[in-house]
Amino acid sequence: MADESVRLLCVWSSPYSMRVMLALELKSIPYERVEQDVRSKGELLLRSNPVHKKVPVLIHNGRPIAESSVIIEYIDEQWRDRGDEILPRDPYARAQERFWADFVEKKIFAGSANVVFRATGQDDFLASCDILEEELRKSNRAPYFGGAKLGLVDIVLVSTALCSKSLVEVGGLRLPSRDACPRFLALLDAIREHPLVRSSLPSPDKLRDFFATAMPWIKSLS
Amino acid sequence: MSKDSVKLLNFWPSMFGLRVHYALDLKGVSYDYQEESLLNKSKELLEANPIYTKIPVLIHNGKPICESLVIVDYIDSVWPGSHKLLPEDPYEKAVARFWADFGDKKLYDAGNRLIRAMGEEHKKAGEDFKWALMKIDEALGTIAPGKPFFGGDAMNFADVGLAPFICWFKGYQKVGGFVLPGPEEWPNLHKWVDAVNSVDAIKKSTPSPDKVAEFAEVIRKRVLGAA
Repeated sequence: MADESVRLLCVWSSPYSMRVMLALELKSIPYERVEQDVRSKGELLLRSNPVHKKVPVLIHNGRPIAESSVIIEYIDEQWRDRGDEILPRDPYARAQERFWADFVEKKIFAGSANVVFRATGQDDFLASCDILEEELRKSNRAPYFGGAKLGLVDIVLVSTALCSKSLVEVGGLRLPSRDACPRFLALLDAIREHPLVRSSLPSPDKLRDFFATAMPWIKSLS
Repeated sequence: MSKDSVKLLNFWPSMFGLRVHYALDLKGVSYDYQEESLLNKSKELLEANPIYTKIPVLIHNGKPICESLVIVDYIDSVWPGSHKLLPEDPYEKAVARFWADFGDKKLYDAGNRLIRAMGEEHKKAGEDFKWALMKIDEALGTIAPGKPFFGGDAMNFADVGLAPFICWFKGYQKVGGFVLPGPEEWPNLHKWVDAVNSVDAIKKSTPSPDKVAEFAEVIRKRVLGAA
């Protein structure tokens, strides 16, 4: 590892950057955080991700990988023998994990963003939380979706776990009640309380304060 | 040795279902096919994909797998022997995944707006669609220079992710009211299209571009009628 160069072009408040950071932390990969200014994109970012021009981008030994879902799978495969596996090895279990990660991204995370930025989909968002709640109930996955340890779905959910305070207090999102979705809310709590999340990712309060000032600009991006 | 039971639930014009066809056909896997009517979904589909009730769904030995790229990845893991779709090297794998994902994020998104959007948004969809194809042309030149496919001499995960849109080109051009640039402007893309269309496994399940265009125009008329 000593002669490897791992750099992450990121933005501290970006939900997608957070996911990749957590994956790197889970695998104990030493990396350099290279904070980007998305209002004035630098040459390194534009060169490393010419197609989407977005963060996060992982640059491993000079080679860039873009798109958080692609980066996370790369991290799991490249450093297969380090730390815990992010995805199960069994093809069917892996397909299920990927399905739920995609569901969380499309229906929970993007669903919550719809409510806050497009003033639509509050009921759809709650219905999606119910679906995830039912899966947690049926499969008995606890304390994390990945079971005893964080897995891919938990990594994708970290954005919701940390940003939900912002989305609720500043954005007007309604989360399900603890009666309606006890397991889902307990899962978000467990993710927030994970030592690596607490030590390496921004706190919900810091994000909420940032969101309060930056919301109009973030709105203009969607 | 007991035989695997493999069944694909699909709707014929779906480019997502076509990804699954391509993966199975390239690997020579035998499977049953069930055409679904989206207005009258089978009980099997509703049970196999209760969350989205969407096609494609692959049912392998009774177990359902949903979401086209998840299915293709699964197929590649379960039947790795013939025609490996994902490279062994993690970096090359990541490149292949990126371009398959590009199909969803940029090609499908623009194409969907070509069918459903109006006015300025519709015009922009056409520009976005052409931009996406231009990026694919550039990528082919960078990733596999001088080779017909993203996978080099044979189709890989990126090719399977993107190739299903080829039979939709005619339809998108019709509803978008534009003509795609030719080989002089996009040499790599056109070579890729020709190479894909000459693969026997691809010819097996690809619907005719004319039929797809007809379908696209029917949906477009419906959208315009409802506006």
